[in-house]
Amino acid sequence: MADNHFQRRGADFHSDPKIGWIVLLSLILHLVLVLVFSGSFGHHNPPPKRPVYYVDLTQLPVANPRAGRPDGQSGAPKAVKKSTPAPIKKTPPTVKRAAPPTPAKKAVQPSRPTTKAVKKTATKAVRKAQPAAKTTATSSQASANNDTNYQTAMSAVEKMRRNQKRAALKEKLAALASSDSRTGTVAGGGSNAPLGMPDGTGDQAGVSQERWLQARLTKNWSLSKYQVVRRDLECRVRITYNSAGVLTGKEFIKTSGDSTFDDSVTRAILKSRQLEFNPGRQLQVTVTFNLKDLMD
Amino acid sequence: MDLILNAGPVVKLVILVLAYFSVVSWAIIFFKFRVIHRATRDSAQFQNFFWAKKRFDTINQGLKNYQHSPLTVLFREGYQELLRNQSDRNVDDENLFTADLGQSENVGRALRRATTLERQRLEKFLTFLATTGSTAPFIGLFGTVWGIMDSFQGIGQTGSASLAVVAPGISEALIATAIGLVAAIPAVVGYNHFVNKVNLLTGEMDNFSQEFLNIVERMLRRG
Repeated sequence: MADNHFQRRGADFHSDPKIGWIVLLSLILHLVLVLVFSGSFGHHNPPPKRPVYYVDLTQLPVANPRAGRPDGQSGAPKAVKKSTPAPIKKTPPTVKRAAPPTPAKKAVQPSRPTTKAVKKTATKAVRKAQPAAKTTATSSQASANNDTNYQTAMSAVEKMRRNQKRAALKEKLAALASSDSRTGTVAGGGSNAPLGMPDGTGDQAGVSQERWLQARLTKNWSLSKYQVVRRDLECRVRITYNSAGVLTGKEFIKTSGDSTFDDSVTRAILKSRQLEFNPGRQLQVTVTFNLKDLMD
Repeated sequence: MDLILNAGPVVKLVILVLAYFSVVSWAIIFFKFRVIHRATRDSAQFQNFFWAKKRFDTINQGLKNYQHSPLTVLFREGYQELLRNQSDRNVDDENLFTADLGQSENVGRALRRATTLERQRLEKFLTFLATTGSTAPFIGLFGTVWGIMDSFQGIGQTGSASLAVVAPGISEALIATAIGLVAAIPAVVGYNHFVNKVNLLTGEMDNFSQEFLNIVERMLRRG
């Protein structure tokens, strides 16, 4: 009976389900939710495209650019020659000058044009002149006719020569224009000028880091046209990068007075928090943002 | 997801703590839902069974079918105490009435004890839900304040206070408050729901105890 008096009760009333596996279930549910909201289940989304990297081998930003032009040929002319189309050398058709006016004998063989067209026209003129020369060789009337025929033939030859020159010039201009469009350079620029900057004085091939940065910031800048109230806005910003190319400071030297434009400039600068190249020195650039230039 | 990954280490730690709170809270919600649902269902069925049968021994044999109900525990405790008293009962005509009163008191104590145990079982883990509901928003707020402090330090270094500079840092910091609220809201809703259910079941247990004691006293009086 003593067992009944001191028996502990209530310890085995229920067998509640274990909470361990429920915690595991909850954890799995949370992970699934996180994956769903982070978009990892990308069945509906197309797979991300592989990034395409463009390496600009002729526009490397350097600290000490040498003189030249930024889009010019580098010191390795062979490599550049391969990439640029060879200039088309088309010599204009050489038409030998006709002999000075001589009597009818020379009129029979007035000239020796190299091209077929000239030959044809010349022979036609000669053929026209030949019967006249035969029939009027003895009389003065015949000599006068002969002179007229010869002049007609010569004027025809001259006309043909001018036409050919014009056609050759047109062809040359077309060839130049096509070569410019391929290289992206301005026609007439000194293609043999060394790679560098127009105001460069250094010894490194490439463009100035400051110019490169300015171009990049201009590229970064964007503003909706609906936010533009005035187009005559301009601001100057001093931007500082450390030697590792990390943005360390920016200071508005002159604000535009328009907060929207200033904010857009700030966004453009913050897009380039880290430069793609290593300057190797502290880089401090003062950049002028002109809204009109940027919009154009 | 980027907001979390770009946040500072303190904010990340806060988010981790809140994630733990959320995971455990939801586990408790699932667990309590299952336990209380079964208890409510089996209690209703057991009451029908109890009032249909007239004999305690018959009822005791059918308890296995309602094992998730707290009322079955009460009945078993009361019935076992009754059996124990009757076996210990010394038949003495002079003290019979006093002995019967003592028996019903013993049964009453056993029922109260069983009620307390069952209430504790049903309320188990609910304190964690209450803690999550009350502290998770504050933990998230702490992460946000820390993140904003960090963000302002960065603003001071760059020297710009425009919206483009301030907004990303604040956005990263606010994610902590958002996660805190996400953890707290279900916990508060779950806590209130389950406390209400437990109160209903406790009321049922109290009523059943009173009915059981009345039956026991009537039986003892009849001898």
